[in-house]
Amino acid sequence: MTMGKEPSILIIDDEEQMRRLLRNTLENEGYKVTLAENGAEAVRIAESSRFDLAILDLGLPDMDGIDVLKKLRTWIRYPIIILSARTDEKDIISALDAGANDYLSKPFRSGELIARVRTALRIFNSIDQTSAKFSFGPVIVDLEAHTVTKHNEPVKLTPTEFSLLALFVRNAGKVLTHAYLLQQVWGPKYDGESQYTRVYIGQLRKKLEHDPNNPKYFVTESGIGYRLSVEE
Amino acid sequence: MENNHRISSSARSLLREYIISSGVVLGVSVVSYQFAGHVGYQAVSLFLLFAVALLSLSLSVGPVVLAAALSALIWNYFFIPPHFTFAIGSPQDALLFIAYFVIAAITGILTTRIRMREKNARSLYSMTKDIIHAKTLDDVARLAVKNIRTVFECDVLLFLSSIDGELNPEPHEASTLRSDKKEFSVASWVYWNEKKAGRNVDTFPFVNCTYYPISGPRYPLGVIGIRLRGLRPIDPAREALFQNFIEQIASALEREQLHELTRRAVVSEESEKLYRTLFSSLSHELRTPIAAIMGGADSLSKRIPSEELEEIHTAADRLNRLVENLLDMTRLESGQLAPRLDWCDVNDLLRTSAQKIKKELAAHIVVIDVPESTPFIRLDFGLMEQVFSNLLYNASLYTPPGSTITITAKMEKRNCIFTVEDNGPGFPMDALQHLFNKFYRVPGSRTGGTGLGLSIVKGYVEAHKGTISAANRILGGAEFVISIPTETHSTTLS
Repeated sequence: MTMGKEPSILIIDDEEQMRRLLRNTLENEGYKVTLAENGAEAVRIAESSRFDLAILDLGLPDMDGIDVLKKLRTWIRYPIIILSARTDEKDIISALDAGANDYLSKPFRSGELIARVRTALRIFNSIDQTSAKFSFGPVIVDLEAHTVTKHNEPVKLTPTEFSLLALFVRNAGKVLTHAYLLQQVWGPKYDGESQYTRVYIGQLRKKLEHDPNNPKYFVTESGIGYRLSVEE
Repeated sequence: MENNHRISSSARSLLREYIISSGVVLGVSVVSYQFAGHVGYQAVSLFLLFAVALLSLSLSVGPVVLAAALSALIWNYFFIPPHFTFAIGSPQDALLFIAYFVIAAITGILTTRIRMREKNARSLYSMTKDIIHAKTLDDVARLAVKNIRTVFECDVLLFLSSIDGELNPEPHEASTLRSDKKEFSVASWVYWNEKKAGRNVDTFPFVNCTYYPISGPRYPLGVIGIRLRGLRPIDPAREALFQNFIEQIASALEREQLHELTRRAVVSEESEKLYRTLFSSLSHELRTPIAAIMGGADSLSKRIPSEELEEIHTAADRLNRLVENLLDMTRLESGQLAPRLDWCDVNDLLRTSAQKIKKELAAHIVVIDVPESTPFIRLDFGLMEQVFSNLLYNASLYTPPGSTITITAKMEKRNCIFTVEDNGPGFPMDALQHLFNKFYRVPGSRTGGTGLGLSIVKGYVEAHKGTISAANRILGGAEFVISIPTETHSTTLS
């Protein structure tokens, strides 16, 4: 996002009505919107102009949505949010693993969509900032000093807990699949051992959440993984 | 009738062989008698030996032995001096006579045996050639039976295994005998034990046929029963040949079965693909307009908030729930639902389920009670989340605002027992047995339900090989108990 200019969003959906709806919703929020109605067109448009974010429907007539995503990801760094009318978790997981930042299942509420777009943009734009400090609620994480405080009180974390937390912090707001978490924190040998992530998420919740039973920050995405929710 | 006829025809051909053999020997003797004076009686023995050897090329053992014996006696009686007596004058002649008989018998018998072997090999080859070109399992069976009937002159009862590995109780249509319970039970014993049994065998001799297993290299393929004429036993040499036949049949059957399995796998893959395409396009078609309605109402209510827009929202939510339920039901009934089991934190599962419908549960008190010690269990998180949010939603519909809904989980042996209970009015007694039926709704209940929620719950629980039951609590209110067998994983940190 360049200062003083409204962020531009590429919308890829084959349903005319959905495109109109998404455009209205996002333009009302002050975004600049470009529309594409199939995979080939999306790739063409994305090649010729720069956007701040893309919203991609998985059910496209000409190409599989996942393939479009993979293709876009070969040169695009900005966030891509998946829209899916399929509730099959496998599709969502493979989209996330192929580089999608977030997903929304149709039908969704406009408020939800706008919130996701905003989060994705903010995270993406804060990546390059030099600050190693990150805060959510009463928690402040210093990635360089390896320290965590809650209400200004230091919190003791084990090395594994800290690397998991750091991973969430670096991907705040993004859905992280079980497979991704295992791969990043424990390594490829632990593929399928999702009990590890569940145990450590439990620990992080106990140490950092106000009410570990009703987590506000470490949110479960059922059947898919977890997200560090940083919405106010 | 047919059998009697065949027996007499075969006996007649044997009789003819005896007549031919004695006729030829007599003929050669008469001719030789004319020349005996010139060539000497020793040379006559060579003529006779030649005749016996020739006979052994086309006759069976019995007639050949007869020819050998008959020619020996004739030679002795008419040619060896003193003539016209069985007495032999010189010791050389006695030696010659014995040598003649032994050589005639051995030549005859050996030649016949080699011929038999050659015939066996030919019959085996001809069957193998037949079934190698067969294009279906039925063709293999039909040609195998045909060949066995001609070669072994017997009746055949053929049972084949079905695709799921059981022996098909219906004999194959190429069989020439009828099966009954007794025959099938012996055949089935043979199938599972892979040993022969039945008539003329120590095991189960009281049935009509002798049954042989048709065993493939990996698993049994079927059983073949044969009944020889007059129920007599098969002789060992023929049985060895029969076993060769069975081996050939087994490999052909296996080939066709594998082929059939591959074909079925392809068909089922195709139908799954078709289902997936239909399902995803259907869900897309249904969800998109709902998304449009919701989105439209959303942006409108930002500009002009109104009660009517809230109505649209409520209706869209309801429509959405109905569509989701219908799609879930379709998925369940198509048999395409396979739970993706993964380790789950039960506490997290129940809380996420309640979180998902917190709006609907706003007027109720939800208590979730999972002991700290509860281990992780393997479940499909998504499906079970839906089970509990459906049950919670149900409870919210059927209890007055302010009621308490309690979910507990505990381990009992290898099962995880969940209970969902409320302190509402409970179920009408006659509704209990229909609760899980599709589209059933408790009479007089509020609108908003689809009548599908509980059948989906039951379907998902059963997909986890679990059970669900509903009851009224003694203290009032409704109660659901779900039991899911599960592998557990104690929460140890490493």
